[in-house]
Amino acid sequence: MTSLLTITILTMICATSLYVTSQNGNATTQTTSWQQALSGAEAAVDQAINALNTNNTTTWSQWYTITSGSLPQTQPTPSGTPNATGMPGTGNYNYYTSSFTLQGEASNSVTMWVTVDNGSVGPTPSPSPGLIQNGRQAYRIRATGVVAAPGPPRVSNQKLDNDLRKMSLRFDRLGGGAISTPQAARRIEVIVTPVTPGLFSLGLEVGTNLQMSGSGTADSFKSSLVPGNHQWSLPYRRSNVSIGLVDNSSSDLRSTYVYGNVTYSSSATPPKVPKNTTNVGSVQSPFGGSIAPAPTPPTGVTYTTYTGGGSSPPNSGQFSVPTNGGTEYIKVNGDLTVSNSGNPLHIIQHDGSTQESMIIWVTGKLTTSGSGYINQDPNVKVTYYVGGDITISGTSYQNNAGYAADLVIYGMGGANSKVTVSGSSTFTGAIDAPGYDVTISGGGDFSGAIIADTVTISGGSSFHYDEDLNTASLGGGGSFAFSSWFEDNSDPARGITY
Amino acid sequence: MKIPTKRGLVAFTLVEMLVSVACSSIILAAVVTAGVALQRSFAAVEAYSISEGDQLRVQDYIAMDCRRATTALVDAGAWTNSGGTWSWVSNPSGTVTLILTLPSYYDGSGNAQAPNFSASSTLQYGTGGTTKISYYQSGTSFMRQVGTNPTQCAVGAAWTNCSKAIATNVNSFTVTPTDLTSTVRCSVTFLPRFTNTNPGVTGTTVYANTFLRNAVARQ
Repeated sequence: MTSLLTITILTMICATSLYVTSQNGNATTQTTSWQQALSGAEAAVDQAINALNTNNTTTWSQWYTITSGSLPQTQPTPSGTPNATGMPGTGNYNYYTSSFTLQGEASNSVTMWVTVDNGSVGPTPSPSPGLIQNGRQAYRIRATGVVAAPGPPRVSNQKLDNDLRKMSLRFDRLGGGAISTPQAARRIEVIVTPVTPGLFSLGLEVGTNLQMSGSGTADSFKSSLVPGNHQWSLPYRRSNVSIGLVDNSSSDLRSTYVYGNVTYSSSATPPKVPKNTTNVGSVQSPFGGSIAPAPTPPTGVTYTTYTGGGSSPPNSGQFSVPTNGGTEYIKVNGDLTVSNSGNPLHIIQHDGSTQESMIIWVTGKLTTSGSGYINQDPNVKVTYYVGGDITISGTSYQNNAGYAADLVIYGMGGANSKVTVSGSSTFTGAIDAPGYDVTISGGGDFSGAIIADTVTISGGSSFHYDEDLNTASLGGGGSFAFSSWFEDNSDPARGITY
Repeated sequence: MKIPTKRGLVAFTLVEMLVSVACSSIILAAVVTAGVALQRSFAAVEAYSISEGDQLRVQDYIAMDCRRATTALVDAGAWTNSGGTWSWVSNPSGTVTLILTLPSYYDGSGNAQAPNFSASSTLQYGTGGTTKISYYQSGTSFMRQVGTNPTQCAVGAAWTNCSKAIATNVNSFTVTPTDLTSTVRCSVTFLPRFTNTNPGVTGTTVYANTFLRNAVARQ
């Protein structure tokens, strides 16, 4: 009898011990799952930053662009195939999901999903002027890592853990709704801003004075997304043009529709505010940027030199790349002038199988006028370094590739030098001319980017910023880095925020 | 005279009883001894589990808050009420406290606020407020305080401006006040929960070295 009683008591003690041990094991797996979930969320952030930094159709190819007024609390389930092609615009976010395996005491896989938006998506969108720093767009990344917690849906016996590790046992604590297996989910929010902005990360960077006509518009697009001639057209309009005014003096936008933002600084007392900006997406101050001197032509290379002047280009009007995939260096001592349609300048690619480059250094002026024109083959990227005034037009410069990044003109003339872009056709290219006065007239549009001291857009001409100019290959980067890192570990139902 | 005999009455002999009692005693002694040993082992494992849970919890709390803090401060003193307002008062003989400043990510209803850049191009949430998170030792408890009020949170109350113990059985808490612009280094020593005759175990120290991600990102 005594034996039976003793054995019974011991059995009960063992059973209790096993039960408590089981609870401890449960608590351990929940702890491990919770810690692993952060790895998933951080991996999702890495994916987002990689997509923002490289920003091409390949890196965005696994993402969805979803138009919505608010960021999702639960994992979205978009239909169809991934359709994102670039950074998210106003009113939508990009979404990506993936999972990876791991080994540990908890689950064997981590699921992650992430959204990227420019701050315009709710439930609390960024107040005016939006998530913009010094005229450059910042992005919000929200990443969630989810790890299953093996074991029964049982609250941890370590009561102090329950305030920290908010497990979803039967209901998803982040988005509501029943779940079939317990899981740990952690969410982090990261704000990233451009660290080393590309040379042409803004559409217009103006030193002192911007004059617009009011009859044209200013907007943005991505030439890589436009099929065929890669030229701007209304269906491809985007609202990401940024206009930066370093030290505004008397800018007047005349109520021009600007699909983007204007950021300005002014050293005057009181500060000079740009006029007639009622149709600008957002206006903010200060700008914080500056205009660096134009780069100088490369040295340590061998230039093929010609004597300039006259009305016709030298070398019978032919500059060609001699080798497949190579770079040709040409120096024109004096003015490079093309004014006769009978003697155009033809920039010739080698065979067109690979991208080629040409550097043209003009010590004097670059001028196309009258019926003269420059024809640039589609597989040659041309960079001009011009020592004096620049006079061109959309008709007289035929950029056959259609990409602004394929024609870059650096003006080295300094103060009081001039750039005149006229004509009724669209000029496609990027101009970096610190100290220059740039005039766009004649009704033809300008597609690309401009850096200058003053810019005047008249005659109904519109300005279209090609966002593909914001790349590392053009003197800068466009790399993004953290400006803020925050983990949302709140549980409002239990009165826990921080 | 006939002596009646009780046929069918069977019993153990004295010798058999003695032998069975002796065997049973030996078996029971072994079982009880094993049971006691298992109980002690279980108590030791249970104590280890609880201690490990405390240590992991402290590490995870400090790591989470340090990562999202914009600044970190180590000081000795106390949160003091003056005229209904709690504020930090330094005192060299006071309690060593790690004070982290976090951006006010949540609004009054506990919802996330929108990020935006201030006029000085500084990232902020909402209108740019901040919240203090403090870590310090109180007796043998390790406290985490949200806000400036050190009063312990009432049971069931929101953890918005009060403190809670996140670990017990704490012996000491130290913070290395070096390079607080990028890293926080601290250690928490826990007393042993299970002791035996071995005098060598005096406690377990947990070290946490956390990178101030949010602070460095904003520099």
